[in-house]
Amino acid sequence: MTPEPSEHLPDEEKNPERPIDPRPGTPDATVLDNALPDREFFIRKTFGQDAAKGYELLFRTYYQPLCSHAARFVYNKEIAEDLVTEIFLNFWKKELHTCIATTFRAYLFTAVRNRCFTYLRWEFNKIRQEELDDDFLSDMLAPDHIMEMDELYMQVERAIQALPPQCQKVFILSRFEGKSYQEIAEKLGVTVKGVEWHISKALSVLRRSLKQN
Amino acid sequence: MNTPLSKEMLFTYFSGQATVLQKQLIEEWLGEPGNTERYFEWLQEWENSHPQFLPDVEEAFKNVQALLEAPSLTNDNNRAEAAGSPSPPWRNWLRVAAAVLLMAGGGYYYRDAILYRHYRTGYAESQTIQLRDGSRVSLLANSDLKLLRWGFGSLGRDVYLTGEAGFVVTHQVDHQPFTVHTPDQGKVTVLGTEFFVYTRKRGTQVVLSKGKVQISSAEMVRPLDMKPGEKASVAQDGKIAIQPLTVTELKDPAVWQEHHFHFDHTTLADASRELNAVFGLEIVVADPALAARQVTGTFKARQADELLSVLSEMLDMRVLVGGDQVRLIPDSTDTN
Repeated sequence: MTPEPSEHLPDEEKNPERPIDPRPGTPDATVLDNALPDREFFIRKTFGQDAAKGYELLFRTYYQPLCSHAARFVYNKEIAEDLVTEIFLNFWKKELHTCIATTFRAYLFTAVRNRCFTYLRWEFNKIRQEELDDDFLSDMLAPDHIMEMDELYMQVERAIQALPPQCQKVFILSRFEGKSYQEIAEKLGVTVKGVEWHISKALSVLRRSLKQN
Repeated sequence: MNTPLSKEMLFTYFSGQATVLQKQLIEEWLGEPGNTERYFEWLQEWENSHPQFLPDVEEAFKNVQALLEAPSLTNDNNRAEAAGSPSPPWRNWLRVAAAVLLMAGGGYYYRDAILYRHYRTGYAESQTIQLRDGSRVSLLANSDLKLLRWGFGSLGRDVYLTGEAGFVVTHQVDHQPFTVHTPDQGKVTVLGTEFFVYTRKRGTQVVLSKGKVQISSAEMVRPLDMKPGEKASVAQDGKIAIQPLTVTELKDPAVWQEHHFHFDHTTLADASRELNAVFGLEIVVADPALAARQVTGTFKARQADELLSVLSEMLDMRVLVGGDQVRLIPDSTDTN
Protein backbone atom coordinates (compact mmCIF):
# COMPACT_ATOMS: atom_id res chain seq x y z
CA MET A 1 0.00 0.00 0.00
CA THR A 2 2.00 2.88 -1.23
CA PRO A 3 0.19 6.12 -0.81
CA GLU A 4 0.08 7.59 -4.24
CA PRO A 5 -0.48 11.24 -4.65
CA SER A 6 -3.62 11.07 -6.69
CA GLU A 7 -3.91 12.52 -10.12
CA HIS A 8 -7.55 12.87 -9.50
CA LEU A 9 -8.55 16.42 -8.93
CA PRO A 10 -12.25 16.51 -8.39
CA ASP A 11 -12.84 20.19 -8.65
CA GLU A 12 -10.95 20.41 -11.88
CA GLU A 13 -12.47 17.44 -13.54
CA LYS A 14 -16.01 18.49 -13.15
CA ASN A 15 -15.05 21.97 -14.05
CA PRO A 16 -14.29 22.04 -17.70
CA GLU A 17 -13.99 25.75 -17.98
CA ARG A 18 -16.07 26.83 -20.87
CA PRO A 19 -16.14 30.15 -22.55
CA ILE A 20 -18.93 32.21 -21.20
CA ASP A 21 -21.04 34.24 -23.48
CA PRO A 22 -24.29 35.58 -22.17
CA ARG A 23 -25.47 36.51 -25.62
CA PRO A 24 -25.00 33.52 -27.88
CA GLY A 25 -24.49 34.56 -31.42
CA THR A 26 -23.06 37.95 -30.62
CA PRO A 27 -19.53 38.14 -31.90
CA ASP A 28 -17.52 39.30 -28.95
CA ALA A 29 -15.29 41.59 -30.92
CA THR A 30 -18.14 43.97 -31.51
CA VAL A 31 -19.30 43.66 -27.93
CA LEU A 32 -15.88 44.56 -26.69
CA ASP A 33 -15.50 47.47 -29.02
CA ASN A 34 -18.90 48.91 -28.38
CA ALA A 35 -19.47 48.31 -24.73
CA LEU A 36 -15.98 48.67 -23.41
CA PRO A 37 -14.32 51.87 -24.20
CA ASP A 38 -12.86 51.63 -20.71
CA ARG A 39 -10.06 49.96 -18.86
CA GLU A 40 -11.17 46.44 -19.64
CA PHE A 41 -10.19 46.91 -23.26
CA PHE A 42 -6.79 48.09 -22.18
CA ILE A 43 -6.35 45.05 -19.92
CA ARG A 44 -7.16 42.75 -22.79
CA LYS A 45 -4.63 44.48 -24.98
CA THR A 46 -2.01 44.16 -22.27
CA PHE A 47 -2.69 40.43 -22.00
CA GLY A 48 -2.10 40.21 -25.72
CA GLN A 49 1.36 41.70 -25.33
CA ASP A 50 2.54 40.25 -22.04
CA ALA A 51 0.46 37.86 -19.96
CA ALA A 52 2.30 38.64 -16.71
CA LYS A 53 1.66 42.35 -17.14
CA GLY A 54 -1.93 41.58 -17.97
CA TYR A 55 -2.36 39.63 -14.74
CA GLU A 56 -0.87 42.41 -12.72
CA LEU A 57 -3.13 44.98 -14.29
CA LEU A 58 -6.15 42.74 -13.84
CA PHE A 59 -5.34 42.22 -10.19
CA ARG A 60 -4.69 45.86 -9.48
CA THR A 61 -7.88 46.92 -11.22
CA TYR A 62 -10.27 44.44 -9.67
CA TYR A 63 -8.88 43.22 -6.38
CA GLN A 64 -10.26 46.02 -4.25
CA PRO A 65 -13.81 46.23 -5.66
CA LEU A 66 -14.03 42.44 -5.60
CA CYS A 67 -12.96 42.24 -1.96
CA SER A 68 -15.43 44.92 -1.06
CA HIS A 69 -18.14 43.02 -2.87
CA ALA A 70 -17.23 39.70 -1.27
CA ALA A 71 -17.31 41.33 2.15
CA ARG A 72 -20.98 42.15 1.63
CA PHE A 73 -21.67 38.44 1.52
CA VAL A 74 -19.29 36.95 4.05
CA TYR A 75 -18.88 39.98 6.32
CA ASN A 76 -15.31 39.08 7.08
CA LYS A 77 -12.32 40.97 5.71
CA GLU A 78 -9.94 38.10 5.86
CA ILE A 79 -12.24 35.59 4.24
CA ALA A 80 -13.29 38.08 1.58
CA GLU A 81 -9.64 38.55 0.64
CA ASP A 82 -9.06 34.81 0.71
CA LEU A 83 -11.94 34.08 -1.59
CA VAL A 84 -10.97 36.76 -4.05
CA THR A 85 -7.36 35.60 -4.04
CA GLU A 86 -8.56 32.11 -4.78
CA ILE A 87 -10.51 33.33 -7.79
CA PHE A 88 -7.44 35.14 -9.08
CA LEU A 89 -5.20 32.13 -8.58
CA ASN A 90 -7.70 30.04 -10.46
CA PHE A 91 -7.71 32.60 -13.25
CA TRP A 92 -3.93 32.44 -13.43
CA LYS A 93 -3.56 28.72 -13.31
CA LYS A 94 -6.21 28.01 -15.93
CA GLU A 95 -5.09 30.93 -18.07
CA LEU A 96 -8.65 32.07 -18.30
CA HIS A 97 -7.71 35.20 -20.20
CA THR A 98 -7.46 33.01 -23.27
CA CYS A 99 -10.95 31.60 -23.05
CA ILE A 100 -13.27 34.09 -21.40
CA ALA A 101 -15.76 35.51 -23.84
CA THR A 102 -17.35 38.00 -21.49
CA THR A 103 -15.42 40.82 -19.97
CA PHE A 104 -12.96 39.79 -17.29
CA ARG A 105 -14.96 41.99 -14.98
CA ALA A 106 -18.19 40.05 -15.52
CA TYR A 107 -16.34 36.79 -15.02
CA LEU A 108 -14.52 37.89 -11.88
CA PHE A 109 -17.55 39.39 -10.21
CA THR A 110 -19.70 36.39 -11.03
CA ALA A 111 -17.06 33.94 -9.86
CA VAL A 112 -16.54 35.82 -6.61
CA ARG A 113 -20.27 36.03 -5.94
CA ASN A 114 -20.66 32.37 -6.60
CA ARG A 115 -17.72 31.56 -4.36
CA CYS A 116 -19.26 33.64 -1.59
CA PHE A 117 -22.57 31.89 -2.01
CA THR A 118 -20.79 28.56 -1.74
CA TYR A 119 -18.98 29.77 1.31
CA LEU A 120 -22.14 30.89 3.07
CA ARG A 121 -23.82 27.60 2.30
CA TRP A 122 -20.82 25.81 3.69
CA GLU A 123 -20.69 27.92 6.80
CA PHE A 124 -24.35 28.13 7.65
CA ASN A 125 -25.87 25.01 6.21
CA LYS A 126 -22.93 22.81 7.10
CA ILE A 127 -22.70 21.42 3.64
CA ARG A 128 -19.44 19.64 3.10
CA GLN A 129 -17.06 21.46 0.85
CA GLU A 130 -16.90 18.62 -1.64
CA GLU A 131 -20.61 18.51 -2.17
CA LEU A 132 -20.68 22.05 -3.32
CA ASP A 133 -20.48 22.91 -6.89
CA ASP A 134 -18.08 25.56 -8.02
CA ASP A 135 -18.86 25.37 -11.69
CA PHE A 136 -19.00 28.54 -13.57
CA LEU A 137 -21.83 28.24 -16.00
CA SER A 138 -23.13 30.66 -18.55
CA ASP A 139 -26.59 30.71 -16.97
CA MET A 140 -25.02 32.48 -14.02
CA LEU A 141 -25.24 35.55 -16.15
CA ALA A 142 -28.99 35.16 -16.56
CA PRO A 143 -30.92 38.10 -15.07
CA ASP A 144 -32.70 36.03 -12.43
CA HIS A 145 -29.47 34.47 -11.23
CA ILE A 146 -27.73 37.80 -11.03
CA MET A 147 -30.58 39.21 -9.02
CA GLU A 148 -30.73 36.23 -6.69
CA MET A 149 -27.11 36.89 -5.83
CA ASP A 150 -27.89 40.55 -5.23
CA GLU A 151 -30.77 39.49 -3.02
CA LEU A 152 -28.41 37.32 -1.00
CA TYR A 153 -25.97 40.06 -0.05
CA MET A 154 -28.80 42.45 0.61
CA GLN A 155 -30.37 39.92 2.90
CA VAL A 156 -27.13 39.51 4.83
CA GLU A 157 -26.97 43.28 5.18
CA ARG A 158 -30.57 43.52 6.36
CA ALA A 159 -30.08 40.75 8.91
CA ILE A 160 -27.01 42.47 10.34
CA GLN A 161 -28.64 45.88 10.34
CA ALA A 162 -31.56 44.47 12.28
CA LEU A 163 -29.35 43.21 15.10
CA PRO A 164 -29.53 45.12 18.39
CA PRO A 165 -26.75 47.76 18.46
CA GLN A 166 -24.49 46.06 21.00
CA CYS A 167 -24.87 42.69 19.32
CA GLN A 168 -24.09 44.29 15.97
CA LYS A 169 -20.99 45.96 17.37
CA VAL A 170 -19.67 42.73 18.87
CA PHE A 171 -20.40 40.79 15.72
CA ILE A 172 -18.60 43.28 13.47
CA LEU A 173 -15.57 43.47 15.76
CA SER A 174 -15.30 39.73 15.88
CA ARG A 175 -16.16 38.72 12.39
CA PHE A 176 -15.25 41.68 10.25
CA GLU A 177 -12.29 42.99 12.18
CA GLY A 178 -11.12 39.58 13.36
CA LYS A 179 -10.74 40.71 16.99
CA SER A 180 -10.53 38.09 19.69
CA TYR A 181 -13.31 37.71 22.25
CA GLN A 182 -10.95 38.97 24.91
CA GLU A 183 -10.14 42.14 22.98
CA ILE A 184 -13.80 42.82 22.30
CA ALA A 185 -14.74 42.24 25.92
CA GLU A 186 -12.10 44.75 27.02
CA LYS A 187 -13.03 47.28 24.38
CA LEU A 188 -16.75 47.23 25.09
CA GLY A 189 -16.50 46.63 28.80
CA VAL A 190 -18.45 43.39 28.77
CA THR A 191 -17.53 39.87 29.82
CA VAL A 192 -16.13 37.28 27.43
CA LYS A 193 -19.25 35.23 28.08
CA GLY A 194 -21.34 38.19 27.01
CA VAL A 195 -19.33 38.48 23.80
CA GLU A 196 -19.87 34.81 23.10
CA TRP A 197 -23.55 35.22 23.68
CA HIS A 198 -23.86 38.16 21.28
CA ILE A 199 -21.94 36.35 18.61
CA SER A 200 -23.92 33.18 18.84
CA LYS A 201 -27.08 35.24 18.73
CA ALA A 202 -25.93 37.15 15.65
CA LEU A 203 -24.93 33.93 13.93
CA SER A 204 -28.25 32.29 14.64
CA VAL A 205 -30.12 35.32 13.30
CA LEU A 206 -27.98 35.19 10.19
CA ARG A 207 -28.46 31.47 9.83
CA ARG A 208 -32.21 31.77 10.11
CA SER A 209 -32.30 34.59 7.62
CA LEU A 210 -30.20 32.64 5.13
CA LYS A 211 -32.32 29.53 5.50
CA GLN A 212 -35.29 31.42 4.15
CA ASN A 213 -33.34 32.13 1.05
CA MET B 1 -35.41 48.31 -27.86
CA ASN B 2 -33.09 49.24 -25.03
CA THR B 3 -34.91 50.34 -21.90
CA PRO B 4 -32.96 53.32 -20.72
CA LEU B 5 -31.98 52.86 -17.13
CA SER B 6 -29.92 55.28 -15.20
CA LYS B 7 -26.80 54.47 -13.28
CA GLU B 8 -28.38 56.14 -10.26
CA MET B 9 -31.26 53.71 -10.37
CA LEU B 10 -28.86 50.79 -10.36
CA PHE B 11 -26.85 52.32 -7.53
CA THR B 12 -30.06 52.67 -5.55
CA TYR B 13 -30.72 49.03 -6.25
CA PHE B 14 -27.21 47.95 -5.22
CA SER B 15 -27.61 49.64 -1.89
CA GLY B 16 -30.80 47.68 -1.28
CA GLN B 17 -33.10 50.67 -1.62
CA ALA B 18 -34.92 49.77 -4.82
CA THR B 19 -38.67 49.22 -4.84
CA VAL B 20 -40.25 46.03 -6.12
CA LEU B 21 -41.26 47.74 -9.35
CA GLN B 22 -37.77 49.08 -9.87
CA LYS B 23 -36.40 45.60 -9.37
CA GLN B 24 -38.74 44.32 -12.04
CA LEU B 25 -37.53 47.00 -14.37
CA ILE B 26 -33.95 46.06 -13.68
CA GLU B 27 -34.63 42.40 -14.37
CA GLU B 28 -36.13 43.28 -17.75
CA TRP B 29 -33.25 45.57 -18.48
CA LEU B 30 -30.76 42.82 -17.62
CA GLY B 31 -32.40 40.56 -20.19
CA GLU B 32 -31.50 42.91 -23.00
CA PRO B 33 -28.25 42.33 -24.88
CA GLY B 34 -25.22 44.17 -23.64
CA ASN B 35 -26.75 45.15 -20.35
CA THR B 36 -25.16 42.38 -18.30
CA GLU B 37 -21.79 43.88 -19.05
CA ARG B 38 -23.09 47.31 -18.25
CA TYR B 39 -24.48 45.94 -14.99
CA PHE B 40 -21.05 44.65 -13.91
CA GLU B 41 -19.39 47.84 -15.04
CA TRP B 42 -21.69 49.79 -12.78
CA LEU B 43 -21.38 47.26 -9.99
CA GLN B 44 -17.64 47.78 -10.07
CA GLU B 45 -18.08 51.52 -10.14
CA TRP B 46 -20.42 51.30 -7.20
CA GLU B 47 -18.00 49.12 -5.23
CA ASN B 48 -15.18 51.54 -6.03
CA SER B 49 -17.16 54.47 -4.74
CA HIS B 50 -18.88 52.68 -1.82
CA PRO B 51 -16.24 50.25 -0.51
CA GLN B 52 -16.97 48.05 2.47
CA PHE B 53 -13.31 48.16 3.35
CA LEU B 54 -10.03 48.93 1.65
CA PRO B 55 -7.73 45.95 1.39
CA ASP B 56 -4.03 46.51 0.94
CA VAL B 57 -3.75 45.80 -2.78
CA GLU B 58 0.04 46.11 -2.78
CA GLU B 59 0.43 43.56 -0.02
CA ALA B 60 -2.13 41.27 -1.60
CA PHE B 61 -0.39 41.44 -4.93
CA LYS B 62 2.94 40.59 -3.36
CA ASN B 63 1.38 37.60 -1.68
CA VAL B 64 -0.21 36.32 -4.83
CA GLN B 65 3.04 36.78 -6.66
CA ALA B 66 4.86 34.86 -3.98
CA LEU B 67 2.36 32.07 -4.42
CA LEU B 68 2.84 32.07 -8.15
CA GLU B 69 6.58 32.44 -8.29
CA ALA B 70 7.40 30.00 -5.56
CA PRO B 71 8.08 27.00 -7.82
CA SER B 72 11.16 28.62 -9.24
CA LEU B 73 12.57 29.17 -5.77
CA THR B 74 12.73 25.61 -4.57
CA ASN B 75 12.79 22.08 -5.83
CA ASP B 76 12.93 20.42 -2.46
CA ASN B 77 9.32 19.62 -2.23
CA ASN B 78 9.16 18.28 -5.72
CA ARG B 79 11.88 15.83 -4.87
CA ALA B 80 10.00 14.65 -1.85
CA GLU B 81 6.92 14.15 -3.94
CA ALA B 82 8.69 12.51 -6.82
CA ALA B 83 7.85 9.08 -5.43
CA GLY B 84 4.26 9.33 -6.59
CA SER B 85 2.81 10.26 -9.91
CA PRO B 86 3.09 13.91 -10.76
CA SER B 87 0.14 15.99 -9.75
CA PRO B 88 -0.94 18.92 -11.86
CA PRO B 89 1.73 21.57 -11.69
CA TRP B 90 -0.33 24.30 -10.11
CA ARG B 91 -1.11 22.05 -7.23
CA ASN B 92 2.56 21.72 -6.55
CA TRP B 93 2.94 25.45 -6.78
CA LEU B 94 0.56 25.94 -3.99
CA ARG B 95 2.12 23.26 -1.86
CA VAL B 96 5.61 24.37 -2.53
CA ALA B 97 4.55 27.93 -2.03
CA ALA B 98 3.00 26.98 1.26
CA ALA B 99 6.18 25.23 2.28
CA VAL B 100 8.30 28.16 1.25
CA LEU B 101 6.11 30.50 3.19
CA LEU B 102 6.38 28.25 6.18
CA MET B 103 10.15 28.24 6.06
CA ALA B 104 10.38 31.93 5.40
CA GLY B 105 8.73 32.38 8.75
CA GLY B 106 8.39 35.82 10.24
CA GLY B 107 8.01 38.03 7.21
CA TYR B 108 5.30 35.85 5.88
CA TYR B 109 3.49 35.48 9.12
CA TYR B 110 0.56 37.42 7.79
CA ARG B 111 0.21 35.16 4.79
CA ASP B 112 0.54 32.15 7.00
CA ALA B 113 -2.31 33.31 9.14
CA ILE B 114 -4.51 33.69 6.11
CA LEU B 115 -3.54 30.56 4.28
CA TYR B 116 -3.74 28.33 7.30
CA ARG B 117 -6.16 27.67 10.03
CA HIS B 118 -4.56 26.96 13.37
CA TYR B 119 -5.95 24.87 16.15
CA ARG B 120 -4.18 25.38 19.45
CA THR B 121 -4.59 23.87 22.83
CA GLY B 122 -3.30 25.39 26.01
CA TYR B 123 -2.11 23.94 29.26
CA ALA B 124 -4.21 20.95 30.39
CA GLU B 125 -6.53 21.45 27.46
CA SER B 126 -7.44 19.08 24.69
CA GLN B 127 -9.61 19.36 21.64
CA THR B 128 -11.11 17.08 19.04
CA ILE B 129 -11.20 18.48 15.55
CA GLN B 130 -13.32 17.16 12.76
CA LEU B 131 -11.69 17.88 9.42
CA ARG B 132 -13.55 18.46 6.20
CA ASP B 133 -12.58 15.08 4.81
CA GLY B 134 -14.21 13.35 7.75
CA SER B 135 -10.92 12.63 9.56
CA ARG B 136 -10.67 13.31 13.26
CA VAL B 137 -7.79 14.73 15.23
CA SER B 138 -7.56 14.65 19.01
CA LEU B 139 -5.18 17.40 19.92
CA LEU B 140 -3.59 17.04 23.36
CA ALA B 141 -2.34 19.84 25.59
CA ASN B 142 0.13 22.49 24.35
CA SER B 143 -0.23 21.49 20.77
CA ASP B 144 -0.75 23.24 17.50
CA LEU B 145 -2.24 21.81 14.36
CA LYS B 146 -2.46 23.80 11.20
CA LEU B 147 -3.90 23.11 7.81
CA LEU B 148 -4.87 24.98 4.68
CA ARG B 149 -7.90 27.09 5.37
CA TRP B 150 -9.27 26.67 1.88
CA GLY B 151 -7.45 24.02 0.01
CA PHE B 152 -7.57 21.22 2.58
CA GLY B 153 -9.13 18.26 0.82
CA SER B 154 -8.87 19.68 -2.68
CA LEU B 155 -5.19 20.60 -2.61
CA GLY B 156 -4.16 17.49 -0.78
CA ARG B 157 -4.50 16.55 2.84
CA ASP B 158 -1.52 18.02 4.60
CA VAL B 159 -1.47 19.00 8.24
CA TYR B 160 1.35 20.46 10.33
CA LEU B 161 1.67 19.36 13.91
CA THR B 162 3.66 20.61 16.85
CA GLY B 163 2.87 18.72 20.02
CA GLU B 164 0.80 15.58 20.41
CA ALA B 165 -2.24 14.32 18.59
CA GLY B 166 -4.14 11.18 17.78
CA PHE B 167 -5.42 10.81 14.23
CA VAL B 168 -8.29 8.82 12.79
CA VAL B 169 -7.94 9.34 9.07
CA THR B 170 -10.64 8.48 6.57
CA HIS B 171 -9.75 6.67 3.40
CA GLN B 172 -10.76 8.67 0.33
CA VAL B 173 -12.22 7.11 -2.80
CA ASP B 174 -9.45 8.64 -4.85
CA HIS B 175 -6.79 7.33 -2.42
CA GLN B 176 -5.68 10.80 -1.56
CA PRO B 177 -2.85 10.55 0.97
CA PHE B 178 -2.99 12.30 4.32
CA THR B 179 0.33 13.68 5.52
CA VAL B 180 1.33 14.88 8.96
CA HIS B 181 4.34 17.20 8.81
CA THR B 182 6.45 17.58 11.92
CA PRO B 183 8.68 20.57 12.77
CA ASP B 184 11.81 18.44 12.34
CA GLN B 185 10.81 17.96 8.70
CA GLY B 186 9.50 14.50 9.27
CA LYS B 187 6.48 13.26 7.41
CA VAL B 188 3.91 10.64 8.26
CA THR B 189 1.88 9.65 5.24
CA VAL B 190 -1.20 7.46 5.31
CA LEU B 191 -4.24 6.66 3.24
CA GLY B 192 -6.68 5.92 6.01
CA THR B 193 -5.80 4.68 9.46
CA GLU B 194 -5.41 5.43 13.14
CA PHE B 195 -2.18 6.59 14.66
CA PHE B 196 -0.67 8.87 17.24
CA VAL B 197 2.04 11.47 16.73
CA TYR B 198 4.22 13.12 19.35
CA THR B 199 6.50 15.83 18.06
CA ARG B 200 8.30 18.36 20.22
CA LYS B 201 11.84 19.51 20.91
CA ARG B 202 12.66 16.03 22.12
CA GLY B 203 12.03 14.49 18.75
CA THR B 204 9.17 12.71 17.09
CA GLN B 205 7.33 9.52 17.92
CA VAL B 206 4.64 7.78 15.93
CA VAL B 207 2.53 4.91 17.22
CA LEU B 208 0.34 3.04 14.79
CA SER B 209 -2.82 1.31 15.92
CA LYS B 210 -4.48 0.39 12.64
CA GLY B 211 -3.62 0.27 8.95
CA LYS B 212 -0.28 1.24 7.58
CA VAL B 213 1.73 4.40 7.57
CA GLN B 214 4.89 5.61 5.93
CA ILE B 215 7.31 7.73 7.80
CA SER B 216 10.20 9.81 6.56
CA SER B 217 12.49 12.38 8.11
CA ALA B 218 14.87 15.05 6.92
CA GLU B 219 17.65 12.47 7.21
CA MET B 220 15.77 9.51 5.77
CA VAL B 221 13.87 10.85 2.81
CA ARG B 222 12.88 7.42 1.52
CA PRO B 223 9.85 6.54 3.60
CA LEU B 224 9.82 3.53 5.90
CA ASP B 225 6.70 1.40 6.35
CA MET B 226 5.19 0.92 9.77
CA LYS B 227 2.81 -1.83 10.83
CA PRO B 228 0.12 -1.72 13.50
CA GLY B 229 1.46 -2.11 17.02
CA GLU B 230 4.77 -0.51 16.16
CA LYS B 231 6.37 2.59 17.46
CA ALA B 232 8.69 4.75 15.41
CA SER B 233 11.03 7.25 16.98
CA VAL B 234 12.75 9.97 15.04
CA ALA B 235 15.83 11.14 16.87
CA GLN B 236 17.13 14.67 16.66
CA ASP B 237 19.64 13.65 13.99
CA GLY B 238 16.77 12.45 11.79
CA LYS B 239 17.43 8.70 12.22
CA ILE B 240 14.27 6.64 12.41
CA ALA B 241 14.01 3.57 14.61
CA ILE B 242 10.97 1.32 14.39
CA GLN B 243 10.27 -1.14 17.18
CA PRO B 244 7.25 -3.14 18.31
CA LEU B 245 5.29 -1.90 21.29
CA THR B 246 5.73 -3.90 24.47
CA VAL B 247 2.91 -6.12 25.67
CA THR B 248 1.81 -3.64 28.30
CA GLU B 249 1.94 -0.79 25.86
CA LEU B 250 -0.21 -2.78 23.44
CA LYS B 251 -2.77 -3.58 26.09
CA ASP B 252 -3.28 -0.06 27.28
CA PRO B 253 -2.92 2.81 24.84
CA ALA B 254 -2.67 5.19 27.76
CA VAL B 255 0.71 3.69 28.59
CA TRP B 256 2.52 4.72 25.45
CA GLN B 257 1.15 8.18 25.72
CA GLU B 258 2.74 8.38 29.13
CA HIS B 259 6.02 10.12 29.70
CA HIS B 260 8.43 8.94 32.33
CA PHE B 261 10.51 11.26 34.38
CA HIS B 262 13.40 10.20 36.54
CA PHE B 263 14.51 12.87 38.92
CA ASP B 264 17.44 12.31 41.22
CA HIS B 265 18.19 15.35 43.33
CA THR B 266 17.11 17.38 40.36
CA THR B 267 16.49 21.05 40.99
CA LEU B 268 13.07 22.38 40.15
CA ALA B 269 14.72 24.64 37.56
CA ASP B 270 16.13 21.60 35.76
CA ALA B 271 12.94 19.63 36.12
CA SER B 272 11.08 22.56 34.56
CA ARG B 273 13.43 22.49 31.62
CA GLU B 274 12.73 18.79 31.23
CA LEU B 275 9.00 19.40 31.32
CA ASN B 276 9.40 22.08 28.73
CA ALA B 277 11.18 19.69 26.38
CA VAL B 278 8.55 17.02 26.84
CA PHE B 279 5.37 19.03 26.96
CA GLY B 280 6.38 22.16 25.10
CA LEU B 281 5.28 24.18 28.06
CA GLU B 282 7.04 27.29 29.24
CA ILE B 283 7.53 27.15 32.98
CA VAL B 284 8.81 30.09 34.95
CA VAL B 285 10.20 29.75 38.45
CA ALA B 286 11.02 33.27 39.50
CA ASP B 287 11.72 32.52 43.15
CA PRO B 288 15.40 31.45 43.41
CA ALA B 289 14.86 29.44 46.61
CA LEU B 290 12.07 27.48 45.00
CA ALA B 291 14.05 26.98 41.78
CA ALA B 292 16.88 25.46 43.78
CA ARG B 293 14.73 22.93 45.60
CA GLN B 294 15.34 19.36 44.64
CA VAL B 295 13.07 16.56 43.51
CA THR B 296 13.80 12.86 43.58
CA GLY B 297 11.65 10.08 42.23
CA THR B 298 10.14 8.49 39.16
CA PHE B 299 7.01 10.00 37.76
CA LYS B 300 4.62 9.14 35.02
CA ALA B 301 2.41 11.66 33.32
CA ARG B 302 0.51 12.04 30.13
CA GLN B 303 0.08 15.75 30.50
CA ALA B 304 2.10 18.41 32.22
CA ASP B 305 -0.66 19.24 34.67
CA GLU B 306 -0.61 15.73 36.13
CA LEU B 307 3.04 16.01 36.99
CA LEU B 308 2.85 19.60 38.14
CA SER B 309 0.09 18.84 40.58
CA VAL B 310 2.21 16.11 42.16
CA LEU B 311 5.23 18.39 42.32
CA SER B 312 3.21 21.20 43.82
CA GLU B 313 2.12 18.86 46.63
CA MET B 314 5.71 17.83 47.25
CA LEU B 315 7.23 21.28 47.18
CA ASP B 316 4.49 23.41 48.68
CA MET B 317 4.16 25.54 45.64
CA ARG B 318 1.34 26.88 43.59
CA VAL B 319 0.87 26.54 39.85
CA LEU B 320 -0.37 29.66 38.13
CA VAL B 321 -1.46 29.32 34.56
CA GLY B 322 -1.58 32.35 32.32
CA GLY B 323 -1.57 32.30 28.54
CA ASP B 324 1.15 30.03 27.22
CA GLN B 325 3.05 30.22 30.46
CA VAL B 326 2.97 28.43 33.75
CA ARG B 327 4.42 30.13 36.79
CA LEU B 328 5.48 28.24 39.87
CA ILE B 329 5.47 30.24 43.09
CA PRO B 330 6.01 29.31 46.72
CA ASP B 331 2.77 28.61 48.49
CA SER B 332 2.79 31.56 50.86
CA THR B 333 -0.62 30.79 52.34
CA ASP B 334 0.65 28.20 54.78
CA THR B 335 4.09 29.46 55.65
CA ASN B 336 3.26 29.36 59.32
